[in-house]
Amino acid sequence: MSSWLQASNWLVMLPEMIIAFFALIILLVAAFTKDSEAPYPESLAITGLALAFISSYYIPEGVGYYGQVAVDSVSRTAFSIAILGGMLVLGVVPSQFGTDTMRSETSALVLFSLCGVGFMVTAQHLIMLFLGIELLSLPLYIMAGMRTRDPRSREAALKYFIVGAFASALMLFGMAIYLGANGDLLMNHFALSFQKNAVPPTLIFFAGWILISTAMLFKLGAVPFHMWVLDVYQGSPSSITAFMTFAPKIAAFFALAKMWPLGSESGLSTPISMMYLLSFLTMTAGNMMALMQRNIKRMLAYSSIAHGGYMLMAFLISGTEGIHALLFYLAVYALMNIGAFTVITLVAPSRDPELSIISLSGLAKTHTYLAVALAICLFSLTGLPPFGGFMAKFFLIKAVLASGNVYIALAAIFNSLLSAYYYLRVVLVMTTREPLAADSDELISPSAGFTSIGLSSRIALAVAIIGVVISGISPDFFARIISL
Amino acid sequence: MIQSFLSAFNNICAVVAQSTPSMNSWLIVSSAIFSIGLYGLLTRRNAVAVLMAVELMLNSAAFNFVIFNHYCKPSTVDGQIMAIFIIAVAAAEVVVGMAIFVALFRYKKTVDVNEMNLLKG
Repeated sequence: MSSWLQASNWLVMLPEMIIAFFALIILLVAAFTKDSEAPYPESLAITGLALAFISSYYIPEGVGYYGQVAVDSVSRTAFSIAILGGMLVLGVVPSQFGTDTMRSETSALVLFSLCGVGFMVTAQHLIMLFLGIELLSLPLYIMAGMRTRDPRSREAALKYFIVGAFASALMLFGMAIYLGANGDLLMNHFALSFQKNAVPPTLIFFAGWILISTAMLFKLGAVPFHMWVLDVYQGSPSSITAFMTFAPKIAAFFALAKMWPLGSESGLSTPISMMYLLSFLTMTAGNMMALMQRNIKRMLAYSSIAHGGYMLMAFLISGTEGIHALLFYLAVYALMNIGAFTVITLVAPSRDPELSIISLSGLAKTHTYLAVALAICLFSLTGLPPFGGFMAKFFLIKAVLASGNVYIALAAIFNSLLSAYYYLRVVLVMTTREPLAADSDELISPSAGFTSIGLSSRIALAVAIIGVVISGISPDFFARIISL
Repeated sequence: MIQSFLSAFNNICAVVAQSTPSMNSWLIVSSAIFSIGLYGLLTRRNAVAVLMAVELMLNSAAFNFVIFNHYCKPSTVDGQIMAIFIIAVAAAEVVVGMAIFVALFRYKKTVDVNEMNLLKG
């Protein structure tokens, strides 16, 4: 028994084990206490995530479980970003669900989902990848429908479920073909087949590769496969939407990075031109469609598609530079989206439940701090200099230019200019328009909205905003925090 | 199209006659199941029927795993293990899906996917 434990190098999976353990504890505590006297499940969940985060610094790098998983600095950093984002989201969950009975379930599901992220970023075997993607997705389907009194939330859950199940069916079919092409399910056949001077991959290998990649592109909402993103982001509870914007993206990007040749490192031109086209279509279509949205959550959904397009550019860069730029981008992106969706969570109950952009008018007068926080997140999403979004785009585009892909870098810059219109329009609505009539009887003071919300959401929002600012002012320091 | 169906039919007949099925004939069966599932997913309007179609697709993938494992590398059991995992995960997926459908049905009194039109913009 002990020799098996040693041989399996089980310590590499310690963070995932801690997270799963705490999720089970939360479920047990919820089962044996009444809802009214339940302790705060989020604090238990955040404790578990903090332990997992600390432990991820100390676990050894290397291969574990007989080649099923491999932990390296990239996968560890990606997982740390997901864990930190999960902690912030759990801080917002209490203000979303209030005294509702769903809080322990939501906390446990967030933990299970993060466990799936850990499986996916460390997977070296397709069984692990499959289990990871299901462990990530199944809790997300449930959480999309967590706002039980709202029919739109249930509808979002249905749409997410059907699309997700379809994507995993495609992925499984591709994995079976991969097994037929290679004889086993280890993921290193991708890297071996895309080496320079390797034997050109067979057609059957390509078929499996395309199907598995398609499932990953579904998960991160790249353009031909993006239609579910809008409805799901709009219908889900806002705090859960914040989680959806980054957790599946981190997992899918780093699973894709293991199966896609980076830049010109393979001699083949097909993968490069495919990624070129995907990235261009994703960023352009996302930005074009975001221009005409009236609903702020749909606008942010399109913006997250567009950001996915920018991030896909990282696959055009050979070597580790692109992956590091992608990690930095994902960390900043997670913080910006958590900030924006936290503000939406906090202002939604008192305003239009439909959350049209117009319903934010006069937010700067009624909820000054929240309006400033949202404005910082939107500036950062645009890519304006003092904030993190600028540095993220700067590193990525610099690396793309260095790899010689000038046109796609220009397309990204023009797209950023275009995106300024719809981000800054929200800021304009918040500052220049008069508050709506429904708000006029509300207490008007700069701190309005802060007295009514929980301490934990205040802290989460503050941390997200500070992170966005620090990553813009001192990117090195920020990179050291997320252990790049 | 008809030619390929006929040749597939001939193939199956030949297989039955020899009673040693080749890998191709098994693959034809599993691809047919996958295509039926895909067709059902795209055409059915009842959400439960859509779920059944997805189950067909998952099962054809599990079938494929066993076929490829048996014919390409009979000394290992990777494919068979994957098939067992697929069965387990598909069960979990049905649980989640049916819960979502029940929650929707209690609100709408229907699970017709064409009626799901609250979210648009």
